[in-house]
Amino acid sequence: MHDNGKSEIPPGTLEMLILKTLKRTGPLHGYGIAKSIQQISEEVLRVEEGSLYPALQRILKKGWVTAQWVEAGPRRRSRVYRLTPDGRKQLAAEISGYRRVSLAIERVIEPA
Amino acid sequence: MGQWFGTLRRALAALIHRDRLDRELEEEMRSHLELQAEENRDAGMADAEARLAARRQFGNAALLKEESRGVWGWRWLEVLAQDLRFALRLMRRNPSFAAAAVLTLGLAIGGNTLVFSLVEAVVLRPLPFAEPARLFLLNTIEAASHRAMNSSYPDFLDWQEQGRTFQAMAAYRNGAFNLTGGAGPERVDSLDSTPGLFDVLGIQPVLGRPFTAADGDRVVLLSYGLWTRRFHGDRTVLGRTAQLDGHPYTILGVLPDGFHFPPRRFRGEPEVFVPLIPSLDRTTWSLQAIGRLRRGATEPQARVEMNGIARRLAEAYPERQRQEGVEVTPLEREVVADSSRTSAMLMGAVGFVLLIACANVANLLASQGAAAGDFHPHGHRRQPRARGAPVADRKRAAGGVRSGRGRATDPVRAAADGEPGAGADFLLHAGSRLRGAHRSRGAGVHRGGIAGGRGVLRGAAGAALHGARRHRPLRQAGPLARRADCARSRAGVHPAGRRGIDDEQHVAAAVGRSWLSPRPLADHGNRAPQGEVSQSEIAVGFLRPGDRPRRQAARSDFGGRHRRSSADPRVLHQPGGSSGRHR
Repeated sequence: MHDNGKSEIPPGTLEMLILKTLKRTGPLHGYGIAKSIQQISEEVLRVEEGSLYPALQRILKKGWVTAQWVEAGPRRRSRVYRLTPDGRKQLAAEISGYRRVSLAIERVIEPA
Repeated sequence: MGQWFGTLRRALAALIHRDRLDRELEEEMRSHLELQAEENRDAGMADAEARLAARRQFGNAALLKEESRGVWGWRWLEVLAQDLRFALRLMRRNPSFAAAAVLTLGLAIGGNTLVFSLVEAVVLRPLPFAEPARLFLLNTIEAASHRAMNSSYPDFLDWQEQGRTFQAMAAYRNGAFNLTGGAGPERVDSLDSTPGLFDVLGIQPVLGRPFTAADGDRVVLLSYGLWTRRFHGDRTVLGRTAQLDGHPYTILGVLPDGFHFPPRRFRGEPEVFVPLIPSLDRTTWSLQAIGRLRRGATEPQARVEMNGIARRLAEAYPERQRQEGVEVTPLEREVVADSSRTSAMLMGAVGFVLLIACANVANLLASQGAAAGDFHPHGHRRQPRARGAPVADRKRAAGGVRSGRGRATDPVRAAADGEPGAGADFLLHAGSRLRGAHRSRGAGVHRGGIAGGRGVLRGAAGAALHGARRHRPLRQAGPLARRADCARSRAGVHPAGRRGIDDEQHVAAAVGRSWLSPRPLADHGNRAPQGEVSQSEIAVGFLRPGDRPRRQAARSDFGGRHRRSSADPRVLHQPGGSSGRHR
């Protein structure tokens, strides 16, 4: 737990969160993805840059997203990530897998 | 499968366009920082503060970039390329040393190659006959000694007549002739055989034909070597005569190049093949026999049958020396059995030569390191040249401090630490196991030799590690040392006042350690006052060697951070002018 009420993202779920964010908002750059996850989670989840960029490279390599440079104002461009059909499939699979596990965990820890 | 292929394709593209990957990551992270700084400004921070906060939050950009690159899985290749470039640079810098090392290793490797090709030819390559697995040598076993010996011609004829498991048999013996006429006299080895030999082996002459029973005794087949040497490869040689022991023999044919029979003999290789003039005495044991097993028949069947024949012969001729059977040996096994021990010994011997060569090169490395570093002609130690690029991969750099990839320890000190022993331990362990095995087999005499071998191994391993420590580090810890300079100057030791490698190494080692777990510099050499080198000051950037413009940029970047770090509360010491305070 972070001091200011922020939590680490559970291991293995960052890629799912990124994919879901891209599905929800459409093409987005890395900074935007991090902010979006933070906002939607009401500042509970904080995406470390140190894990964000390697994770983005990982899902690029697996072909779940594509990256593209777009002009973003004068003298600046940003690299936006876009979900691929493979990414969509993967997202569905990861979400259902995550639901199953989290439900199971819930059952274990709920007060008897 | 398709997905796997796509991943591979993308990874390969990343490798090929790795410069672009680099640039893109850099730009992406810069853009991230700018966006963050913008947000900070919007929240009311001053410009400089906003940037600083953004950078602080972002963390070690260089490390992050390298981790992101690492995702594509080509790190090992980059490291390999770096190592190769480094090796080439070292060799160019010291050509005579390189020549000595190359020569030493070259000779050892050459010896190994030579012996291996020999072993390959003798032991591993299949015999050059048709279906060699069906060829068997047949020997009479004498009852008194139970030993295989030659056979008599009448016995051979009975085998041939009664043996159903064999498709064909032939008998032969070695001889020699004086070959005269033409180019002067010459002693040539011969093989005297029954006419069936070439059929049994499945060999056809390249020129002419094999002899048959109808040809009489005075005909000869030439080996390819003799034909080219003595008869200059003349195709009109057929039908001419060769003088063997003063008698004219008609040349019937020439055997193919590479035909050797008996196979793989190193001496006395027959060059003329003549019909056997047999002795009809049943007690003249002078012949070797070979048979080709009938298709479908097995070795045990052949053995049973041949032993049966031998028993009947023993009963029919009770007056002669008793025979107890026939030994049936696969030709392949017979041929290899002769030479496999020799081959193994040779392989082992040249293996040790290679090991010794490695030890010699390691010694060269160590002595060269000593000459370059510690005994400089001008009385002072030559400074290590800070070379290579700053490293961001902490494991590689810091790990280097221990493993010899960083120039943080000198070999003597490392030896005192006992680290080379660690490498030798594995070999020692193997050695003592070997020794145990030997002892259990009652070969205690070898103990001394093996103990000596242990010494050699230990020395070789130690020296190799020395060498590695001495040389590998130049690249990796160069930057570390440079950082160390900065750290030290900030920590109060003036660079001009440093006293050589010793300081540098101490501090570099300290930096290396502090990197893993921050620790007061004061522990090391009493030269630096108390204080910590913080991680943010040391972890700098990852650049590939040869990237001069970017290195410059990185330096100025480092400088910028360096200044900035003075505002960092974790850093106790101010750069530049404040150093006097700590004196």
